[in-house]
Formats: sequence, structure tokens, C-alpha cells
Amino acid sequence: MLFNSFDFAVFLAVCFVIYWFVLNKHLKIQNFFILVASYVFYGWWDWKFLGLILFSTLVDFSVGKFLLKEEKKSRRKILLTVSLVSNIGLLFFFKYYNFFIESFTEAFTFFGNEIQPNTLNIILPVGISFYTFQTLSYTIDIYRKKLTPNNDFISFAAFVSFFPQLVAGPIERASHLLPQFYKKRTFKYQNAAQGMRQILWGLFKKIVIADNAAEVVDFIFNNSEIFGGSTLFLGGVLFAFQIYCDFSGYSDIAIGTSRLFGFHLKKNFAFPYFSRDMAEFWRRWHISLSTWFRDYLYIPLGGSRVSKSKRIRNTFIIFLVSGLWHGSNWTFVAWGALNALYFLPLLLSKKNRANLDNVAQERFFPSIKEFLQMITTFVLAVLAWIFFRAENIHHALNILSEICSFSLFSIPEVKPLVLLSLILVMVGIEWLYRREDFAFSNFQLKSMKVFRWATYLLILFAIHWFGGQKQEFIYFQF
Amino acid sequence: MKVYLKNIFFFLFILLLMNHVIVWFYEAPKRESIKNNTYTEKLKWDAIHNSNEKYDVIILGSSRVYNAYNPKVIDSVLHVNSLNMGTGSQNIIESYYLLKEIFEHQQPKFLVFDLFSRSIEYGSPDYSHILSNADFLSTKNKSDLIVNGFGGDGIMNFTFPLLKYKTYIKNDFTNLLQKKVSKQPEKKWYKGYCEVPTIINADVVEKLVPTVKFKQKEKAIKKLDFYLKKIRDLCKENNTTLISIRTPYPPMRLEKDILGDQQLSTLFDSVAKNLQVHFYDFNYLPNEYSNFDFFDFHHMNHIGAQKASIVLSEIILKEK
Repeated sequence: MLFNSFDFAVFLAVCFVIYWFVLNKHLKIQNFFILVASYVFYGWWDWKFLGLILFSTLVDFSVGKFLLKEEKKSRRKILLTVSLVSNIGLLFFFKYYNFFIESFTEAFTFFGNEIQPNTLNIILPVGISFYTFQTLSYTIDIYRKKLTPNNDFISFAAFVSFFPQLVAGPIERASHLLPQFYKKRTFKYQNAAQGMRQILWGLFKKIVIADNAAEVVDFIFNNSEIFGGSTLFLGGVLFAFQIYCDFSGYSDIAIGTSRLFGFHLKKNFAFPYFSRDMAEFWRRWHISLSTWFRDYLYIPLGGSRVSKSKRIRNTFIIFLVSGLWHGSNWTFVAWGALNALYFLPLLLSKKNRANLDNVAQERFFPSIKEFLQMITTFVLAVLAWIFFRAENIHHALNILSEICSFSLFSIPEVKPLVLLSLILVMVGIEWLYRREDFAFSNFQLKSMKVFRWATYLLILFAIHWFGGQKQEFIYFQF
Repeated sequence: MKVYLKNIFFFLFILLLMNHVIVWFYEAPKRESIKNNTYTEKLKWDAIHNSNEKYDVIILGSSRVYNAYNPKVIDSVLHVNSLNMGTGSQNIIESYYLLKEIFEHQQPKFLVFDLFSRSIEYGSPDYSHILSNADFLSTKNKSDLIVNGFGGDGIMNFTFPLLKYKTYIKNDFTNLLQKKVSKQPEKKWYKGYCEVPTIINADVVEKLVPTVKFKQKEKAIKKLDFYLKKIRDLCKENNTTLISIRTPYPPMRLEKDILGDQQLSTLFDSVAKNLQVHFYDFNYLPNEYSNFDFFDFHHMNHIGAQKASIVLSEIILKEK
């Protein structure tokens, strides 16, 4: 069930009415209803994979309970290992098995040993990378004694499969989301209105920008050999907006939907293309994943409070793993490595925390320096996105070599004027709200009702008129 | 809570109202054309609904069909009464429901059905055409087409009619920005056939791309199999011989990826064979077509249509 589909609109409306009108007096039944709704939502794609979610849920719930009782360090470690092996084992099997087999085969063939690859016809279950990380954080936090498990299995199962963020995040921490299942939730007008606004803005970004950009980006990348540098660079720029609007659009819809049910999810994007350096970009892009890697991988490795060589190692590990998390392709690894290279000079010169505030914090326009910094960061991000979008490394390098030629200064062969105008509008609106949680956040408090409704209608008509052909969310494949 | 729901409903009502008001203005030329009896879909459906007219051969498919098969040629070769029921961007799901309506009014001996990759591709229906056809169907067939045929998307496009025009509005907007005036080729209509006497430009021929490839091949073939079976069964119930065809493409498009195109043709052939439906791919029959038998990348002009209509007549003769 896609967020941008009629099925989901009906599903959401039905769930909302039952949740608030029928079950509002019984917290446990409300939680059970969320669980059922989430399983229906997931089963809409493929009910066969529901078993995997249930398996992860049972393993981590049981491990959590045993960890609570167990005081012996060695046994606690064994319990944690059970959770890690079963969760990461499943993820590895479904996501990386064929990739590693193929890569080993290629490596052996390269050194003159012909071997027959033994790959399997594996279908990647939607959302596995997201809910696996979510349940892992639960057991790791209990192991670290930062979280106390509860006996309420239904609430835990609902937390693992919570439908708004099940298939593409934000990856929630148990310590943040799980307690919300234990507390009585009351309907708040402001909260629900905020939710609807966030959903509307998410739909605009997904349907108007990302879906339209997808058509042009596919055309340019699929025919990259016939285009000059300027068109290919334009393709990269459009992909940067496609992936941002696709993923942040999804996150906005997920967070907005959660608000409708009285839940608060953490922010996943904070206007990353207004960043002044790559370190700031990574604090603003896919925040739930970056912080997950920071807390459960980077810091345990020693973080940045270690020797210079270890800092370099840690940075590369976190970016390479982050790249590989996105998919089993060397292009993602290269994307991660390139970002590590961008990040390292800032880390080593201790400038990685130079820009912690918002750009143009007290002003409307950025200074020339800030503007140039933003442009540079954006261009660097675009160059990395080319690896992310390309079919393979060779494809990416061909595109980059063409971009680095004189053809970069020619007039692009593809001129998506309407799309570029829409992107400009989107960027303009996000600039206005860059200090808020999302565009149109707190719009209610600042504007008259007529103006607000006219704006909502305008956004809906833009979705109507300029919406591209329906595409799946990019992050579903991760 | 009640205030919230009231606001949501009121907002949706305004949205709905505005949708219909804007579409009312946007569709003014269409209404005028229907009133003046020049709207082609209406003329086609009038012909089907006319109880005094009995058709022996009906041809169903997209615009590629209504540009390629001339009933004047077929009628004179076979001494039959034929009708071209090709309509713009006709989707295979739509074809099935249109056929249900056709059989309620006509008992043709032959149904010629064009297999076209775009009409079975997922995510490509053009709802402006689908709903335009639906307007001329009986209430039951109309609701079946929208609800059972296209599900949620069909209902959305019907309820919020601006949605179905989004591609057109986007194109109008692009043309406006680029100050382009789109030229319509000269057309003449006869029994559902659209005669276009324009010939494709040699420069355009050079830039032609291979025939359409599937984005989601497995899903598309499943859909073809499912609906072709339904169409076959409907024809059986009505004692109509079903002939499936693939309308010609400019040879240059085939040359650009002949293997890919042959694979597509073989795929269509195997689906049809499994369902015991005869299939003829005009691109691989011994008759030769030139790039200049077309007026654009996949629509035939009057010269091509003359040739294709004769070939189709020969096929029908053979099937007799």
C-alpha cells in the first residue's frame, strides 16, 4: 500500500475513525488495533513476509525479557549475540547473500579461478532494513541498561510494526517510541492539524517533485552516453531533488500520519540542502539512520576521541556501512566512501561542528559566504549522488568524466522548465520554514483561515495538475 | 474531534466543487463538439448503439488502430460492414469493458484486437480517454469499468476529474513556457478510422527509438494473459471469432533493437497461443512497410493504412 494511493487514503480514514471513535477508551485495544492495522498494511505488499516481522518481534521481545533477569555479563553477551545474529542474519540473507556470492565469484575469476556462482532467487522484503535496525536498538539499549523492557507484548509488536514508519522509517528508538504505546493518547486538534499539513507537504514533494524528476532522471541516466556534461550534471541535480523529495516526502507523511494517531516520531530531515558543509549535511540528512550508526557503531568504535588513524578508520567504517545499508551494490559503497572523503578533512581539522545553527539564523537572506558554502556543499552532494543513481561504478565514472569535460558549459539538451520552476517553488517554501520542523509547520498560528485554506487548495491543485506518474518510494528497495 | 472532522469534510467538499467547476470550463470545447456531433468517441458509440446498423467486423485498440485500419478498404475487399473502435490510449482493461458494451448491442462475426505493449504496461492508463469512453457506456458497464477495472485510481480520477487531465495541463503549461504552439495533423474520419495524409519527416525517422520495452514485464504479461482470456471468453459466449494482431511500427524502430522487438512479438504470440487465440504480428508478415507509411513514431498515415487494411482483410478472409 503506497502512501500516495487511494487504497492508503481509505485505509487511513477507516483506521482513524475506528481508532478515535470506537476504541478511544481502551489503550490496550487501541494498541492491538494498531498492530492489526500495521500487519494489514504490510500484508498488502506480501503477507508471506509478515512471518519475518513476527520472528524479529518474538526474538527481540524474548531476548529483552531474559536480559532483564540476567545479571551475568557473559550470559548477557550471549543473549545480545542471539538478537544480533538472528536480525543481522536475516538482513544479510535477504539483502546481501547474492551480492557477496557474486562479488567473491568476480574476485576469484579476476585471479584466474573460474567458479560457478551459487546465487539464489531472493526477493527483498520491503522495509527489512528499517525494522531490523529498530528492533536491534531495543535489545542493545536493554543490554546497555538504558531501557527497561515491559511485559506488554502487544505494545512491543505494535512498536516494531507501527505502520506509518514500518517500510521506510524514520528508524525510531525504543526509548522514544515504545513509552508512547504505554500512555493514554488523547486527540488534540492542533496535533492532528499539524499532521495533515505535514502529510500534504510530503505528498507535494513526492508526487509533484520526486515523481516528475524521476521521469527526467531515468531518461538522462538511461541514455547517458548520448548526453553532454551539462545535461548529465542536470540529471545529477534533479536526482538530488528526486531522492530528497521522495524520502523526506515519505518521512513527512509517516510523521504526519503518526501525529493523527497521537504519536510523535523524530525528525528525519532538516532541510539538508541548506547545509554549509558536508558535516552539517550529514546532521540534517536521514537523521534517524545517521544517529543510529553514530550511537551503535561509531561511538562503540571509539568515535572521534581516539588517535588520528582510528578516527579515519571509524569515519570510513561508518560511511561504508551506511552505503552498504542502502543496498547490495558497489555504487552505494563508492557513494559512502566519497562522503567519507568529504567528511574527513572537516573532522581532522575539527571543523565538523562549525555550523550547528541554521543558515541565516537571524536574517532572511544568507550572506554571500553562506550562499557559496551552500552551493559548494550541494554540488559535492550531487557528485556523490551520481554514484548512488548509476547502474554501476563504470557508468558513474563515465558520467563524471563527461561532466568534467567542456561539454559542461554547453546548453543542456533536456530542458525540464516546469519541473525546475516547481523545484524553485519548493526550495523557496522550505527556505521560509528552515527554522521549523517542516514546511508549513505552525502555519495555523500565523495565518488567517481563508489564507490557510487557499494555500492548502493551491498545494492540492499543484498535486493534481503537476503530479508525475506514480512511482514507488526509492527507499522501499532498501 | 468533531470540529476537526467537520473541517476535513468541508475542505474536501470545496476541493471537489472546485475540481468540477474547473473541469466544466476545461471541457467546454468537448461539450460543444458532442453537441455538434463531431466528437469522435460519441460518433463511434452512436454507431454501436444504433440498432439499425449491424457490424460484421469490429476492430478494437488504441489510436494506432484507428489510424491503421480503414473500414472502407475492409468493406470493399470482404463485402462486410466493419467498424473501427480504436480509441485514444485504449488500455487492455478498458478494451474488455468496452467489448462488454459492444456485445450488448452488436453481434460481430469477427473481433480484431490489437496487442500493444503500452496498453498493458502498469501505471500508464490515460484516464481522460478511459472516462471519456465511459461516458457513453451503460451505467453498469461504466461503474464496472471505473470500479472493478481500475479500482482506487479509477474512482479517484472519476471523483476528482482534474486528475485525469494532469498530463494535458502539464503539457499546456510547458508549451506556454516554451511559447510552443502544437500543430495538429489534418484528419478525416470514416467509420471510426482516422485518415491522416501527413508523412513523417526524414529527420524524425533518424531519431526514432526502439519499440517500447516493458518496465515491469512480468506484471504486464500477467495482465495481458488475464484480460486476453476474458476477452476470448466474451467472444466465445457471443460466437465471435477473436483475432489478435500487432499493428506495424516504422521499420527504423524495429531495426534499432530487432532482437528486443522479436522477443516482445514472441511473448505476445506465446500468450495468445496458450489461450488458443490466433495472433498476427504485422511487423513480421511478408508485407513490407516503409518508414514513410507513418505520420509519426507509431501512427500510420493514409498510405500505410491502405496497406495494413488490405493485410487485415486477407487475415480475416483466411480466418473465415
